[in-house]
Amino acid sequence: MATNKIQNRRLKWSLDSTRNNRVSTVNDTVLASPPAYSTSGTLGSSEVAKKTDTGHLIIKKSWELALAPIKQVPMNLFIMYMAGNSISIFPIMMVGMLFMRPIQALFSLNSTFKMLENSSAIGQKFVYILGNFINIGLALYKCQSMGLLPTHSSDWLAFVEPQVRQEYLGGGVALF
Amino acid sequence: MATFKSISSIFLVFLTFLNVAISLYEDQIGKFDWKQSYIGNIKFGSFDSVKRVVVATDENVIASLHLKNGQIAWRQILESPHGNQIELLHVDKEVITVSGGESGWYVRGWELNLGTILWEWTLYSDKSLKGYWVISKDQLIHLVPAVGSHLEITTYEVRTGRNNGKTLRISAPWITDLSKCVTAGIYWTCISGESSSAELHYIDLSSQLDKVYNLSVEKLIGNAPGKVTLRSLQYAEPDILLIRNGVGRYVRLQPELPKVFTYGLSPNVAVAPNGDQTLLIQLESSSENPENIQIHSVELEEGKENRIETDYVNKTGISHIITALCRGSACRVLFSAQDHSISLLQLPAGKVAWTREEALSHIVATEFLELPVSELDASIEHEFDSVSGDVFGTLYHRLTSQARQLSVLLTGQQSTSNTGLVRDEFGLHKLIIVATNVGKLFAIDTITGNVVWSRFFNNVESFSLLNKHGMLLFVQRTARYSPLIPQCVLLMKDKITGNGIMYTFDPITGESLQLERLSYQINQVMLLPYEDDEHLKGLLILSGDSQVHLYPSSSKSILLKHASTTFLYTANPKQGTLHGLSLAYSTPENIKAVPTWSLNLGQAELVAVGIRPINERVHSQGRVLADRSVLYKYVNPNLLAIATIKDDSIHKHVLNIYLVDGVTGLIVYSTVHKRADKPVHLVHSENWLVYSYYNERFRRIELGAIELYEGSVQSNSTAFSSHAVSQLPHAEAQAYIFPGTPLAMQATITERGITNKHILVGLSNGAVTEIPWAFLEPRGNQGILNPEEGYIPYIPELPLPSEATINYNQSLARIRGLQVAPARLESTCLVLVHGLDVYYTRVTPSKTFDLLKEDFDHWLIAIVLIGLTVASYVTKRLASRKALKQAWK
Amino acid sequence: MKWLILVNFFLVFAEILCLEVTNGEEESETQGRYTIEGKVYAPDPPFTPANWQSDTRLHINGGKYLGFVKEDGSFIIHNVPSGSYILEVLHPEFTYEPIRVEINSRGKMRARKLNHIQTNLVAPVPYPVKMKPLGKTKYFQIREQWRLTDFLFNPMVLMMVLPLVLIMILPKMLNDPETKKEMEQIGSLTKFEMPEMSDLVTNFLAGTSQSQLQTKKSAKKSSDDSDFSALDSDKISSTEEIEQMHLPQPEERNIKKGTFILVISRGGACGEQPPDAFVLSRMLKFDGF
Repeated sequence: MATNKIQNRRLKWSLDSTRNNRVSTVNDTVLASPPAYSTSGTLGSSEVAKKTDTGHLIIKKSWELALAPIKQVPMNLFIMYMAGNSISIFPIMMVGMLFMRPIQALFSLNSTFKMLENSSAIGQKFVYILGNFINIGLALYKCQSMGLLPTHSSDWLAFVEPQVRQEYLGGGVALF
Repeated sequence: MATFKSISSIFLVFLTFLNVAISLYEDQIGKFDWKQSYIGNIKFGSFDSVKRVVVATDENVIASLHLKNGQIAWRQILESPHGNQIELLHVDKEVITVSGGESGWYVRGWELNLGTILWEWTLYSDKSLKGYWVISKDQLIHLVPAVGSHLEITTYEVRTGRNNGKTLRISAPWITDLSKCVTAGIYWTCISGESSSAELHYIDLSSQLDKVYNLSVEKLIGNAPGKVTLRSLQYAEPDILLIRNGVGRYVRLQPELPKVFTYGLSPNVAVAPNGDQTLLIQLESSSENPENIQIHSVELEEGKENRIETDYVNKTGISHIITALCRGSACRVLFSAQDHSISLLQLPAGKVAWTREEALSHIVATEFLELPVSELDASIEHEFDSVSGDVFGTLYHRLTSQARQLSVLLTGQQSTSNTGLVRDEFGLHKLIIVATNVGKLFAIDTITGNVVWSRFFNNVESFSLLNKHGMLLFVQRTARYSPLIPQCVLLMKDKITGNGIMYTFDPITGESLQLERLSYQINQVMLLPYEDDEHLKGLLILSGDSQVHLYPSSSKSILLKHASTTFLYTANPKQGTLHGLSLAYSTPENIKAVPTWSLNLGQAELVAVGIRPINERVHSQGRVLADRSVLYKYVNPNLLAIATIKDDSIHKHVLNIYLVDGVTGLIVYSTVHKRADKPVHLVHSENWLVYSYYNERFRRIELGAIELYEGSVQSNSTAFSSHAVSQLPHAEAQAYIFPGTPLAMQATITERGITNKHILVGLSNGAVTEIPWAFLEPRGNQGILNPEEGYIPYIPELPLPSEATINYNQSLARIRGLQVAPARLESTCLVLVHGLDVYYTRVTPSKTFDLLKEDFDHWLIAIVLIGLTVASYVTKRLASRKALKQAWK
Repeated sequence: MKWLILVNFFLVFAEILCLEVTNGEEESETQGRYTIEGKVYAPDPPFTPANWQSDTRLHINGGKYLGFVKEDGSFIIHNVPSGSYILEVLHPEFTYEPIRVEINSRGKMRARKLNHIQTNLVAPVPYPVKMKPLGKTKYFQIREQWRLTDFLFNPMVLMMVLPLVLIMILPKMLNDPETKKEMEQIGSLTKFEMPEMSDLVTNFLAGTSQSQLQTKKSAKKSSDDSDFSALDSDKISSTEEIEQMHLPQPEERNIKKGTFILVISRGGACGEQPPDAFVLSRMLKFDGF
């Protein structure tokens, strides 16, 4: 044990494949199993399941991709709630983030769905786009509740031109 | 008590609030403000030593001036000059003045050096009779002549006012005309009768006898045709001047027979004591240059004459010598000219040592004028408005003008006219055109306060506008239209005939364009708001007989074009009536003003009329409320604010405030204050009005503020017409207690109207304070106002912190008026305060938000930036080197 | 004793004389004109300006009647009819509080504090009036001086500079082998609690394999009671192994638990099957328990 310790300390990056303690009792192999590798059968079974049903999995994955934005809605809602309605750096940063993420996702639509090039995934794309629009809608709602959207007349007050004068008046106190 | 404590705590909060908003820094004083102190037209003067001269003026001011430079050593301002005048000035070991009038006489003694008061006592006399005062030894003799019957003489001890109770009454039926009576030394003399039978009567006031000496004038100065008048020589000895046909004879009064000196003297002669000799000094126009003045001095006993040329150019007519002092051969003569300027002449050199322009102690009209751009800028601008439209033409034009500019730059400055008077970047260098009561017109540079040019008009007087004096000054064309010269017009009244006088001039150079004596009396004047082709605004004058005159006559066509939208109004202060006139019925042959409406405000006296400043711009059309809706302002450019005071039996005085539309005569809003009295001052700006009055019930000055709103919808968002009234505006009003006595009020004005408005109030204690409009705003809609926007709760008494005075410790005496003008910088407003003193400064109501602060540490920022950039490059190099080293390990 | 009383009496009498009010009855022919008297005090000697007497003026009701100050500071205002007036002392450099002076028709004077809001409140002030300055009038605002503390305590600076400092200094401090040992010991002490926490979490998440873990835990615990140090060494050795996989950061020892949990959650979010009990047990096993 102690020697192992010393050895391990010296060679930080090395993986001593000659060590055979801790190797599982399941497989009597010479090599130590890689870290986090488990030689149980469940993984294998899952792998097997994967190999057989690729197409199904792809569709499943694509739906998961499409639903990802919608899954982000509750998190966004929570972020909106925590950010508050005042105009200061943190809420503005959050709003900016809320805006940029869906917009970036929309623009990188094709690259996200790259693995589905072969099969058309109109439905998934549509749902993905919809989900992103919902996120944008959330961001807009946040802007509205912060008062950033020019919906009231007071927002257009600065553009109101002063009234043109129609009549001119002159005179004063009688001088004589 | 608790409320008082809470109120006082809020006070403290506001003092800090106000502190942040408005105040000066100590290192800013003197940088952009200047003050000039004046004393007024000199009435009496006396040298108290070779260093100083003590003068008394007709503004009821006593001052001591340094002889070297004319600066004021000390000045004591006595009561208001309306009912009180200085009647006697006696300078000996102390200065003794007798001043007063309506409310009694004050006899005061002042210390020579510092002007501290030594003693004071009062005296009462009948106001209707004119009194004369004589000081002899330590006795003050008060004499009241009753025309045609007798003379009453009372003697008081000068310092204590004690009299022995007796009033000597001397029968004097020879007093016929008080204008022919003067005091001379301790004698009082009169001339009675006409030319040949004229008799001179004089009485010695110091003797307790009632002996009157009578002499016929013929015996004294011979028989000759012509009226004889008397003139007193302000001199300790009992000497008078008998003037006949422009020639004066010096007469020394003595008991029994007065001594007559045979010299022919001019009427403006003055006596200069010179040790044991006496010199008579007269001013006459010099024989060599008729424009200059020469001094003609005559020794009294021996008759030796001497003529000395001076370099004083006489532009104003007759000057008169106030006082003179000689020591050996050196004399100092103090004289004042018709235009109230005081000069000191030094003899034998004949040089003018200094001149004081005392006309500026009573300014009646001011106008700020923008200066023209410098030649270089003008040529740059000129480049862009070339006539030819083709490419090569403009290219050639540009190349030539740039070559010219380059040559100018290389060879140095070559400006032809007005090297100093060019516009600066921020529009802070302006010219103030000032018209004074005596008829002198000045142009003052705002940066230095020096007079650039001046012009005097003889025999003119100002109009009386609501208990104040005023002249009308208009700018017809500004200096913006470069080859065309700017033009201003000044309207005055002729002293003799009462008709109007119109003077047109170029304000930058002072050149006179036209001086026209009108043949009618001016009733009302309007500057037409439309410019003609030459960018000149015409002037419309309504004469006393309701005729309309136009100057220049070429503006007739443009007036006819707009005749249906031009209106006039007149306010009659004594009867309390308002009349409106319209020019719509004018025909090309006959332009006439037809009365359209008239308002009778009761038998009240008009105390204030206010109209919004013409060059004012309202920046925002409404106010934002908490629920983000807009409350639109009622901005009526034709709105007049009228204040009238009526005497009432129950409430002693009633103040009425009316807001009247000047075009239609519609009273938009009116309010009443019972038991409110003068002084009333009004400030009318944008959509609000602030007025001050004296509350008789609580004996305090109060300020009222009224603000007008249209509502949440604008009735017409594009144009405003007084004829299209859909509903009356809604008004919010509020009143505050003002802990001071305002003498004048004005609101700041800026070019675009974005900056906050502050109200400048000139107080009786010599300070001019700034009150932010936010403090005076009616808080009626406090419930719906946006609470985040610095909402200030209502407190009844306005705090006047000392930081808010714009003239820090330069107290200004007798403030008469405040004039404001916008600078080209949005944050700055230029202010001129005039009264007895003139003070100019800059005000920044929202602080200098468009300027870098003065102590902006340019160097620190530059060093930090450069340091950081250098450091970043260095660390980048070092880091890459280290990484390289690491990689090789 | 007696002479004391006499002296007292005399002094009081003298005071009454000094407080005498002059009515100016000899001028009563013109509706009773009275005089207001008093004394103006200059600020105390070091601050007394030269010639303050000639610069000081007194105004009644904003200048209707004027008073001037004699050299000793006393003033008399003549010719005042009966009524209520505001008396103020004006000097360019000093502030004096204005007072209200009332003269009734019989000539009696009363001076009280000026109160614009509660105008009937009588707070008497001695007559003849004694005006003392409130202080030098402050017309100017002081320029803000740049202080080093302003710069250092600025929150932005603190937020940026302090972490920089910490990041640069701490590693140097902690690279020292002795401090490293100390940190390890401290870490081991604190870590005593950690596995229990992580066990709890895993129990919560695993579900079915709870019993397994619990039995294992209990077994371990029973064995560990006696051999505390062995556990320590076990733990330390396990951490060493982990060290082999990760970069050796001293802080990471303490946040190992965090990474552990993250692993679990990440697994769940990746879209793969949720790690079932067996996988979890393998992962746990990796930790060495």
